[in-house]
Amino acid sequence: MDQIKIGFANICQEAQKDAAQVELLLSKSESLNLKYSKSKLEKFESTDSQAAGLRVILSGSQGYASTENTSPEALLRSYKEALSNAQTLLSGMVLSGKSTSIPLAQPATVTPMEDLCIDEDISIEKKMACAQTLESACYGLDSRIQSVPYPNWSENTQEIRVLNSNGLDQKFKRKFYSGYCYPLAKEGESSKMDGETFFAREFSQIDPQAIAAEGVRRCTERLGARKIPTGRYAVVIDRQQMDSILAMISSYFSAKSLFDGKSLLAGLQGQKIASPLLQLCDDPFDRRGSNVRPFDAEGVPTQKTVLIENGVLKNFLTNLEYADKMQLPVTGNASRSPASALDISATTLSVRPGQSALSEMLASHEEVFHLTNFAAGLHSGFKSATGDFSMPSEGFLYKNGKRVGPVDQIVVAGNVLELLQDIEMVGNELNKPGQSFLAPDILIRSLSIAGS
Amino acid sequence: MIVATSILQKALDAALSTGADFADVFLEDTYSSQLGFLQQKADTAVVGQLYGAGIRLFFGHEIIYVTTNDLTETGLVKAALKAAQSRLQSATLTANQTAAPLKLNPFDSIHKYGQRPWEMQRERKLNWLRSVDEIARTRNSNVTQVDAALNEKFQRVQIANSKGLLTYDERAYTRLRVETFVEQNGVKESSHDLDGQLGTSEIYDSMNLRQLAESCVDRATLLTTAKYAPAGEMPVVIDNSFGGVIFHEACGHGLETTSVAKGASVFCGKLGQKIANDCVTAIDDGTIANSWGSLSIDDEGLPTQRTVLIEKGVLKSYIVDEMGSRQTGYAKTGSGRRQSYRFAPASRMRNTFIGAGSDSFESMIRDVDYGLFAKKMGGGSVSPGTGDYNFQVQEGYIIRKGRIEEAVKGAALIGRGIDTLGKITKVSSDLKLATGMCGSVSGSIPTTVGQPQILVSSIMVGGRA
Repeated sequence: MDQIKIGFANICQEAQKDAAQVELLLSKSESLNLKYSKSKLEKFESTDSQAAGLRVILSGSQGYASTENTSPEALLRSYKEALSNAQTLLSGMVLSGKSTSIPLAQPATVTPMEDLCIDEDISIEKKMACAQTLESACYGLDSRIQSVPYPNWSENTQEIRVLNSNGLDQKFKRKFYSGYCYPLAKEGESSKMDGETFFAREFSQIDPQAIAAEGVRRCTERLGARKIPTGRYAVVIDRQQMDSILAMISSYFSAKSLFDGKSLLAGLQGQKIASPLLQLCDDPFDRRGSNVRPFDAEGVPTQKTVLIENGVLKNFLTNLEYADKMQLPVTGNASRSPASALDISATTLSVRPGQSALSEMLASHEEVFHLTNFAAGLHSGFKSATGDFSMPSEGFLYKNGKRVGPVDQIVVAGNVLELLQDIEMVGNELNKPGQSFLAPDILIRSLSIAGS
Repeated sequence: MIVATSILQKALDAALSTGADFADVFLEDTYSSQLGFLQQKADTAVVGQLYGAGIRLFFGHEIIYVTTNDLTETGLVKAALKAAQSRLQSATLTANQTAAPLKLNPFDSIHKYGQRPWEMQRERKLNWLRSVDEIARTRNSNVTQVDAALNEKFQRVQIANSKGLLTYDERAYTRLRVETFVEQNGVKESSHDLDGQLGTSEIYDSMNLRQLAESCVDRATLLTTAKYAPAGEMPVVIDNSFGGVIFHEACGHGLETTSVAKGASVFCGKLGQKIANDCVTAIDDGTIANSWGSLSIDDEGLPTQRTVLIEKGVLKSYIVDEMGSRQTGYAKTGSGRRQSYRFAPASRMRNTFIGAGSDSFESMIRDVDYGLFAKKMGGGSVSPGTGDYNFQVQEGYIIRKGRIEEAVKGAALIGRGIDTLGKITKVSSDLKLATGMCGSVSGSIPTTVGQPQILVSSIMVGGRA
């Protein structure tokens, strides 16, 4: 038996005496990060970390504790802290009469996913050469490239393991290479920074020259950008930017948000909430997504869940606790890190491609704004309680299907639930693999753009 | 101390064994606790421990960084050797250099702490959250949800470097966050606010929790009837306190050597030059007692300091860490910071604010024929390479003919830092600071933003067309 199993067996014995149930989430990761500057190594980071998170269920309450020391003694200490947290919450619940039991996962068979971790013997020199090319290749491609302030090449291995007092013990391992290259270009008074990201499960799939070339192309094609007049425009949201839109609606599908009165989709199951062109599911198995996983943070097998079908809201995402509380099916979407409390998250939100070519979409109205960059991501411009967003954006203006020029310093605003209803066309091509989502381009009938 | 000095001495010697010209070790043992209150009851209780070390080596301008959770002598020396040999497949282990003898450098902290987070009764903490919930729900019967949380952190750090520096510090952080949800006449809105200190939680016994909770509810309520902000370029008066996020995003990040040294900042090469009007003086101050962004020593072991960044419009200093100093030649400002041992330190802001000026708030409003009064800011971000920033206005008002009129929502302010800095034409005398979290290359760290009220002659307001 391994050390963790021994330590956890002790904890289970204690838990039995305390009439408690217990779950242990272990995460081990190794990562190598390489950064180059003007072809010279700037930063070499190698981090190993491990963390253990204990969740103790005591009747209707649960407490958490985490530690980075995974010795049997430290785990037992964390168990006691988690128990004490659960006791604190329980006393409050008994007073308010709001205590109902919380389920713990039963052992179940999960789909093995050995292909998520491909063992390779790649020398450090090869890795460093790849990371160096990612940065240095940018300079030769375009004389307007001033520097590459943000290059990063990384190799990550993660192992996730869940054990609980029902005898469940499962783990999976994944390994991937990821990174980005963001050059800064300048021409006259105009300067722009943009770039390209990559994700690969095998070293041979990384083409640093091609990534650099795409980064340079994305960056330089936006030089000379200007504002467009304030008004309402038909907008094509580029497939690479759909993560921002999906991240806005993601929490609305959580049964916990529903329970807490924070989801704008409350009471709308079975109703039309989007254009009939929209098909959305959560798909933890599609290898093109980066977040493929066989089981969730409670150890429950993951599954594909249809969320929107022909525009109609079909399902919410649950973990065991909220499936029980809301009387919904279990979908295997429990999420947490060892140091955080249990929540519900989508794994890979996936929009099914439609019929339209991007060129058709860009020519569908007299003027179309092709939104290729949400300048701030979701950092600040979205309000979940209302669905309103106002996002600084960049892209290209098209007139009669022809590109007029690059656009920046504008704010695209709207409401995400209205946006879903206003989808006019869905593109026939998916975003590149290795992102946390899968989606094609979508055309929105009309959005407000604040510009000149 | 977290580990014995002799162990660190050995780890540093190992780190220098393949020719590194500098090495440091950052050890951390951090206790954290989060208590959440939701649905009118205690909802979440999480405690955690971070326990690890980061070993950093410099080979000229190259940084090697390795982390480990094994703080025994074997573990630390192994990690140091791993760092030393990382670039070399077959390193020769001739100890051609050794670290200077470590000598403890004690200091008197100006920050005072009370009861440690694990010593205080949880019931006392829950009472603050419960009262925030009750105050909010009493303020307006249309409050549909109150989400309140108390986050505490007690960080013990030990730092040693190959120049002989050895130091130890304890840092307590406490932060109370509240978010209120209101539904009025079929319209849903929310608002959030937070307060934090470098300190321990008994401050909440005497703090005005009523004001925190009520202003949150009032803002959410106001927003249910507010119209969307208009769009276009216009003069903007930005309120004091969290309004300072504009300086943080628009300029502060561009002054960190992390971007300056790479030539990735619009402020490169501008030291000594006039970059703003005379009314603008900006300071990054780590020495304010118990302020959220303060320190005693930075995460490289240097005493923190008060750094004047801009004086009467002239750029005086950048924000400089150890590597930044090495790369640019500027003196270190005690600004090396990181979220935890998992991150190598970088030059980062502390309590960063525009200093008090001499104009009155009333005169600023009077000066505006048509514009926006941005009373409460949301978050923002910047691309340091271009200086393009954006941030959100949580609560705003239209100014018409020198008077503050109707409330508006959904405004985003966007622009380019160096342009906006030049357009600050008035600065009031009423300086206030506010708590924030800042994310960048070395993780998410506590920073304070602040300013007096300022008038910016023109900013692009992204509202609804």
